[in-house]
Amino acid sequence: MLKPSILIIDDSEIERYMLCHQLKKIGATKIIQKDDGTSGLNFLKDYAQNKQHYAADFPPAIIILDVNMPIMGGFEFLQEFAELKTQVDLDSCQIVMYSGSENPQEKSRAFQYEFVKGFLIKGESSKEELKNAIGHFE
Amino acid sequence: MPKRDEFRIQILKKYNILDSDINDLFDDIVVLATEGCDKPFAMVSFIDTDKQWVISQVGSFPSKIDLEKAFCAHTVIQTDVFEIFDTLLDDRTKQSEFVLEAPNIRYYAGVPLINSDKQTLGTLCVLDTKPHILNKHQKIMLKLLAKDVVSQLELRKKNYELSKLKDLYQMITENNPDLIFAKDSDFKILHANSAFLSLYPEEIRDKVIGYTTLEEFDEQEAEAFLVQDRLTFEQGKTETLEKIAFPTGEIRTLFTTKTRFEDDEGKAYILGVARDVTEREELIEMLKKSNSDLDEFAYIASHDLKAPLNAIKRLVSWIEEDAGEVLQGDSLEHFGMIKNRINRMNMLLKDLLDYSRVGKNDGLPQKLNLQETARHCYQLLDLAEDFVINVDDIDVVLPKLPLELVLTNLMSNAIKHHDKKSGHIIIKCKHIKNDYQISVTDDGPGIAPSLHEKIFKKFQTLKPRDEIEGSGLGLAMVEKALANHSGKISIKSDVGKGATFVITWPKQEATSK
Repeated sequence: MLKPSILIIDDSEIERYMLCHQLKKIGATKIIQKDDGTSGLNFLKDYAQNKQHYAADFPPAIIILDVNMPIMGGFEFLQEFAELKTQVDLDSCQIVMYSGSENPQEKSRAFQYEFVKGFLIKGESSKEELKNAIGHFE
Repeated sequence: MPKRDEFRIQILKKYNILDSDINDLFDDIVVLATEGCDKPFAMVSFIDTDKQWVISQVGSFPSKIDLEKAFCAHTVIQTDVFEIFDTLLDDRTKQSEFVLEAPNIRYYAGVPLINSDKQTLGTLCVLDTKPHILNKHQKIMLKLLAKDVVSQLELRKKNYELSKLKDLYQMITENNPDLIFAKDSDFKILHANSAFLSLYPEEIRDKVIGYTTLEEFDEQEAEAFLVQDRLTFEQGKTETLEKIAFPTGEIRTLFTTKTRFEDDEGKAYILGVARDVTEREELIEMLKKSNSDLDEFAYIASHDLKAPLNAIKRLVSWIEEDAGEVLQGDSLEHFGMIKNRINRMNMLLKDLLDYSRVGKNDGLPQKLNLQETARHCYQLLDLAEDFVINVDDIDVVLPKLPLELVLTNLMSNAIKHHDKKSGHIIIKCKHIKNDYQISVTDDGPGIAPSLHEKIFKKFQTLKPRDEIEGSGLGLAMVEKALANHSGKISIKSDVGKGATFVITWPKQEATSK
């Protein structure tokens, strides 16, 4: 079974830790963490270098993206990502939003981007839900 | 002596007869009296308790006569023409110095001066050095002249009172901190009190009355004044709350009422009264700001506390999953305590968030059936206890969310704090003038009157948290939701007698069916 590479973008260390923990429990092994939209974006921008370094695991198959982050938030990231997508090949990238609250407006706003494939609620998403969201791409 | 003077001064004051113009006041009348009655002497006098004060006269009598010597003393105790046909034959006058010495008066006729209050102020009298008798016409003439004296006095009194009143009004206007002004239909200022004038720099204050002064203001402001003035002429009355930069450079917030009025010829004017509400408006602004700051703080605090708490909750549940069997004894108990406190804190944060959101999205008033709304709220409470809820089947027009919040909290409280497993809640609604009066009555343990004030306070609970779970924000939330709609809540209760919460909720216009 092909294990998808996962990029976690979240400013909270404990959230990243717990998400990692959960992802590892369902079998994920290739996880990269970034603590802000900007550093996440820069990781994708250093395309050639990272392609060389991570080979098939770059670009990440799944980006799990926090909504509320201090410098570049989730929605700004989506905007930037859409733009970057026109310059480099990110077609294999799928984004799953990772939000602190279930806000229908937020949800529909995120799903306007065709590359957003999921919307998870922090702390309320069970192992199964997580598996579904991730496993979807396996 | 001072006493007599006092009386005179009183009369003089009352009729505004100043010493300077007193002498010639009734000169025409005394001349007319001598001519009409064909007598050499005549006088108009005021009479007090012991003196006669001669005001105008034809003759050379002293201006002050002791009343015991004065013939007029007999005139003022009756109301008609009083005559002494021959002073030498009359016991009352034959010893008088005016009779025995010059001018050797032999005849007297006097009429009392009686005002509209039936007070006798003095006399008009004619005198002669020969015995005489007045004919009918002369008597009538004398009476008419006396009446004329009184009319003139009353007129002076009225004028005086009017001028006093005018002074009073002027004083009120001048001392009023509100800006008071009147404008004509050309927008020229006709009248302005000192508060109004003080808005202009001193050097141009004499160029305010009779001018529009519009050039002293910012173009937009001046245009706004004119728009308001025109509207006032059209509608009769306008009110505005406006921020104005005054010619002195000061910026103030004014609440201005302009009222149209017309003079006798039908010409229209504007009376403007502007109240300086700068401080009030600033306070309101500050209050609004601090209220929204508080809400924002509560929101951010609870929101930011929620994330780490959630993390703790999940980590704890993972420990339980992975190592649940290992925990024993005290550790197991401590673990339970942690979970319990996490839940409690979660609830508190949820309530705090809800509290900060109260009133944020209340929506518009709509027609709601109270019974249906209450039943819906009760179902959402999802309680195991068996309670009977009786609700008036009545329609109200209120915003849905706050009504649900109020009913939910009150019902939840009634059930949560009930001392039995089952109980009875009665919800009634009455129309009282422009308010709905909704009451929620339970048959629970009741609350002692000394605690009534406490229960509406934030984070206040009457029982330990371990006994009854609650953040202590329920009633505070109810109060806040009501306050947003100018509503109020009060409680009637005593120990062992249940509790009734009475809500007064002003009626609002329905915006949807």
